[in-house]
Amino acid sequence: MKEALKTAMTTSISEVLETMFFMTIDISDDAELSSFVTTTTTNNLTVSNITFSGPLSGNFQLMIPENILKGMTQTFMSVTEEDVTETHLSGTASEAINMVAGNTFSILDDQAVFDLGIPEILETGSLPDQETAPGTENIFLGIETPDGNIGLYAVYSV
Amino acid sequence: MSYKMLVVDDSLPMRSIIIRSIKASGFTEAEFLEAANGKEALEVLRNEWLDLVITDYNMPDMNGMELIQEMKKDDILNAIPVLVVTTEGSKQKVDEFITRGAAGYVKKPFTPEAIRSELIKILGEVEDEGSFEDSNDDLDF
Repeated sequence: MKEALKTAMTTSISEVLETMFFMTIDISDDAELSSFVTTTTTNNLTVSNITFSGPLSGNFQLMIPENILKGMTQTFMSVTEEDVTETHLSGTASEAINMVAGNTFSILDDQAVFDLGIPEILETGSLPDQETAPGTENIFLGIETPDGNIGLYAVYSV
Repeated sequence: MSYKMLVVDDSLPMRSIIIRSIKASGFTEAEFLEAANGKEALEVLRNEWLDLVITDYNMPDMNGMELIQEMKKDDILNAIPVLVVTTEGSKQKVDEFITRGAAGYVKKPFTPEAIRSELIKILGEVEDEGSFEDSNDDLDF
C-alpha cells in the first residue's frame, strides 16, 4: 500500500502543479522530511493541512516556501505581486492541498470512497512531527522547483 | 446570448480561476455571481435568476451535494442546471452527483478545455467561438 500511495501522490502533485500552476517540477524519490526541515527557512513556510478518512485515515500536509507560494498565487489568481494578499496566499495553499489529496485518491482507487476534511493553514513555521505514532505510516516527497523546494507529507493508518 | 452564472466554492482563488476558465472558453459576455458555500448560494438563487450553477462539493456549512438536493426540491430552482467542479473522483460520488441531478462534472485539477466541453454539453452553445483560442493563449492560471 505504501508504494501505491507514494506513486499516486507523485502523480497527483505533478498533475496539480503542472496543470493548475504551470510549474516545472522534479520529484525526488529519496527526499527526507528531516533534510527538508534542515534546509528550509521554516519561518517563511506555509503549511496547509487536510484530513482524510476511508480505507485509509490520516492527513496530508503541503509545505510551501513564501517565495514559491507568492508565485503560485500570482499565477493562480492572475494578479500582480503587489496585489497578492494574505487571503490569496492561504486560499491558494488550501486549494492546492485539497486538489492534491482528492486527486491522489482518484488515482489510487477510484472505486473507493474517501472523505476529505476542510483544508486549513497551520500556524506559521509549524512542521509535522517527524516521529509518527505507533500503527501509522508516513511518506514524504520533495518537489524541486526552479525557485526552491516544496514538501508533501502524508501520515496515515489502514 | 449572455449567460448569468453562479460560482460556488469556499476557495476565493478557485472561484477566480473557474471564472477565468469559463471566459477563456468563449463565454466572454457571461455575468458571474459568487458564493462560498451552499447556504450562500441558495440565498443568491432566491434573489436572482441564473442560467447555470457551478459548484464545488467539499465546502463548510452546506456542501455541493446538499445544494443540489435543495435546488431539486424547489419548483423553480430545479430547472437550473448544475455543473459540479470538484476534487472528488470516486466513481460512487460522481454517480451520486449525476443521480441527484447534476448536469455535468469536472474533476480538479482541470484544463480550460474540460470546462468548455461540459459547458457546451449543458448550455449547447458558445457565445464567442473565435475567442476560445485567443483567450486560451492568454490564460496564465
